[in-house]
Amino acid sequence: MKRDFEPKITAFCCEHSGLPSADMAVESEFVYPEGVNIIKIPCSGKVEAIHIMRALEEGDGVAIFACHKEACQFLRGNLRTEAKVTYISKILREIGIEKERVQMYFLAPSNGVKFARTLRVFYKNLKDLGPNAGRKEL
Amino acid sequence: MIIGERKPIQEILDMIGEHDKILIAGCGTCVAICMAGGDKEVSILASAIRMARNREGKPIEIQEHTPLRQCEWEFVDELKDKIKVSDTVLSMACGIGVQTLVERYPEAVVYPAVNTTFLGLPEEQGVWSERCGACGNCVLDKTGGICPIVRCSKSLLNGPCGGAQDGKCEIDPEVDCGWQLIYDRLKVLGKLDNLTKISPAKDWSTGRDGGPRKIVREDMKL
Ligand code: SF4
Ligand code: SF4
Repeated sequence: MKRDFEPKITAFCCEHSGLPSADMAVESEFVYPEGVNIIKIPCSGKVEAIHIMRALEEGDGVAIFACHKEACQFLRGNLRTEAKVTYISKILREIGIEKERVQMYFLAPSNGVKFARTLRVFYKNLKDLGPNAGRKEL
Repeated sequence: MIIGERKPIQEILDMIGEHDKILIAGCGTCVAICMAGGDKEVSILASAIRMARNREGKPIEIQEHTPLRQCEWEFVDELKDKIKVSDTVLSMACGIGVQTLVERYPEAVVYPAVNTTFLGLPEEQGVWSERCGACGNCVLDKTGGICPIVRCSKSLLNGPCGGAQDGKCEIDPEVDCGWQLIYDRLKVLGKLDNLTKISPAKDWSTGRDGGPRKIVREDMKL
């Protein structure tokens, strides 16, 4: 069962870093797991706690790709979302869901290599964790 | 406004027990502003409860609804249809909202999902602090507009006590001494002589000591 399990991942990608990196990964044929649901956002700060929760309800893991800490186009959007991820981690701990299922990554706008590698590692970690027990029955 | 804080999720799950059809009712006013029980917090709690219950293999059906206010009959009437088809209602309003639902819908089982903590204001985004203890007999005119009941840890009316140091309260070096604030404010207003007038013992019958309070305005009745 666990061997066949294909983690379902949602990746929120800031259009100033995560998204161009995702495009570069595709263009350069850097391999990352198939079926990742990439969601374009104008700034990582736009991700709200409820977006993360809903994405997790529908899947196994949520990744947020944001600009490096000093490089947010809107100054503090990435730091604010980092705080939201900490808040969500507390909720997940309260309900017995592994907090490792929600991760935030900081990267430059042209780092297709890091984007693909990060998702491959995240995918493997989720595969080791197994299906999200809180996920909606399909 | 009224400031609250969501209860721990496990406590909420324990209240829900085995029920599998619930309504989470938020409030769009005070608790929405303090980010404890507005529509966003209702959705987050609903999501957390669904995941917790899926994890236990006991899926739950959750309806969400956030009237503009939960402390007035007119506003809670819109919950009627959803309450009718729910086993349990979780209220994310303050304790007033919870009791409004209980009185309007005596047949419903209503639980509080928020701890009502104090009357206060948002000092800045994400920070709320207490400003009024609803004592029923306001003395702000004498204290430069700073409430001695809640800003002084001992609610002294003839403060300060001897424990203040460098403008901070002896209970915690992070807490301002309420009477230092009052002194500073009266100084700015040129009313330091207010401090030489002794306040008599306060009549607390207008506060909680007088039992449940009620105001009746015959001129406003219909
Ligand atoms: S129900 Fe409570 S939180 Fe909502 S508006 Fe009324 S007093 Fe404020
Ligand atoms: S004196 Fe009483 S009514 Fe006035 S702000 Fe303080 S607690 Fe509230």
